[in-house]
This record gives sequence, C-alpha cells and structure tokens, in this order.
Amino acid sequence: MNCELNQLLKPLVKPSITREQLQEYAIASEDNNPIHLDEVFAKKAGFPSVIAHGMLSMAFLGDCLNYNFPPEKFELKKFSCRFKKVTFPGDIITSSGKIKGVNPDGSLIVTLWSENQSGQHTLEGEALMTPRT
Amino acid sequence: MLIDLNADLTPIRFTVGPITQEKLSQFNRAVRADYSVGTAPTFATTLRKGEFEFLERLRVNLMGLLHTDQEYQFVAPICEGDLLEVETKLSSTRQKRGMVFVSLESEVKVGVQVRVRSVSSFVLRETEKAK
Repeated sequence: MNCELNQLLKPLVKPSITREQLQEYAIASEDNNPIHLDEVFAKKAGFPSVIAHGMLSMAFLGDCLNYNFPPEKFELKKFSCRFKKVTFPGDIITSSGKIKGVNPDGSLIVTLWSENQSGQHTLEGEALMTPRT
Repeated sequence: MLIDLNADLTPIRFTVGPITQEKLSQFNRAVRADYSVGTAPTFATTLRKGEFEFLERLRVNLMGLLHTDQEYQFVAPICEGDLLEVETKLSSTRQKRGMVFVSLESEVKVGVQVRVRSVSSFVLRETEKAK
C-alpha cells in the first residue's frame, strides 16, 4: 500500500462475537477468567452477561494491521491498546485505523480503534510499523 | 483491601514450548484471523500465566478485575519450535478513588535473545460481592 499521512486503513469487520468463541478463545489464550465464561459470575460482577476478553478485540485489531500492512512487507515493532468499553456476545466489532505519522526512516505510526455496532469506541491504540527492506 | 500488600513480589519465571504449529493455528482460529498466518500479533497473550499467578498472589478478586491497557514491544518474532522463557514481574501499583491500578511487565526470551516485552495493566474495583 502507499503510505501517506492521515491515510485511513481499510476497516476489518469480524463476525458477531459468540459465547462459543469466548470459550474457544479462553482455551487458546489460557485466560479462563470466569467473567468471560460464567454468566452467574459476570452478573455478580455487575455486568448484564459475560463480557468478551479485551484481548480478543486487540487480536481483531492485530488482524486489521496484517490486512493493511502485510507481514512480508512490514514489521510490527510496537502495539498498544487501551480498553475503553467492554464488549459482549452479539457485538460486531469493526477495527479501523489511520496513519498518524511517517518517520524519516519510513516507519509508520498508526492510530487504531475498534468500534461496536453502535459506533462506540471499545478500544483505542497505536502501532509502530517498519517497512521491510 | 483490594490487594494483599504483603504478597510475595518475587518475579515469576516459567518456560513454554516448544511452540507448535497447532498452538499458533488454534489461536488464529479463536480470533477468527483472516490475515494472520503463523504467529498473530497478540499471540504473546498466551504467555500470561505469570500474570495470573501474580494476581493470585495479590489475592485479587477476579470479579472486580478489568484489563485496562496492553502494550507490546516486538524485538524478534516468536516462531514455531521456539522454547520460550518468560519472566513476569510487578511493575507498579497505585490507588486512586477507591480503586487499585496494577501493572505487570513480562519479557519473553529464547535463550538470551528477547522476543517480546509486554506490559499489562489492570484496575481492581470494588463490586457488591467483593465488599
């Protein structure tokens, strides 16, 4: 891709999060916090249902980075996120971003965000990508 | 008290691997990856065993725990076959408005070569059940 300042990334929409996916993700990531898996526990914690792992949304953003910056052409050097809002089964998450800076060495600073189907930002972050030579 | 101030704060070290293709693929399937072949950008989240042990040592009530921030610095890629040595330590705790903020740092190495550094931050809040 041509990389220009303020260029928007191609957004990536993932299928609706399911409870089955949370179980699958808990096994794959070894994050078995019952707040993601046990309805009764999540309700006692003050949520209307189980909540999705924040790291699942960060993984969606990571896939969006690979979509826009293919790993054979770019190397991800830094990747950070702030979890702004919890996500739930049924939520449809869109990952987006914008090139915020182009450094003299060609590396890119990319602002990232995830939003749910209501347009609320659930996650905000930043990545540093360097082109492979 | 939301955390045990007398907890053992010795860094936690553990070994994971060798990393298999199946482990990498299992993660990619779980996150419905369309464009991540091999090691996904956040695969290092599978190496958080030390964080969970630290939260247990601190006697954190999971009901009041929320992950607030995550940072990765990638020094070299994690690859199939890697035997990873992970060290996790408590980097900070602070209290504010009745909540406790905890940050844990990890370094993932193969031998002496660093692959990934990470910082995971959490907030502990009081819940009705945790009171």
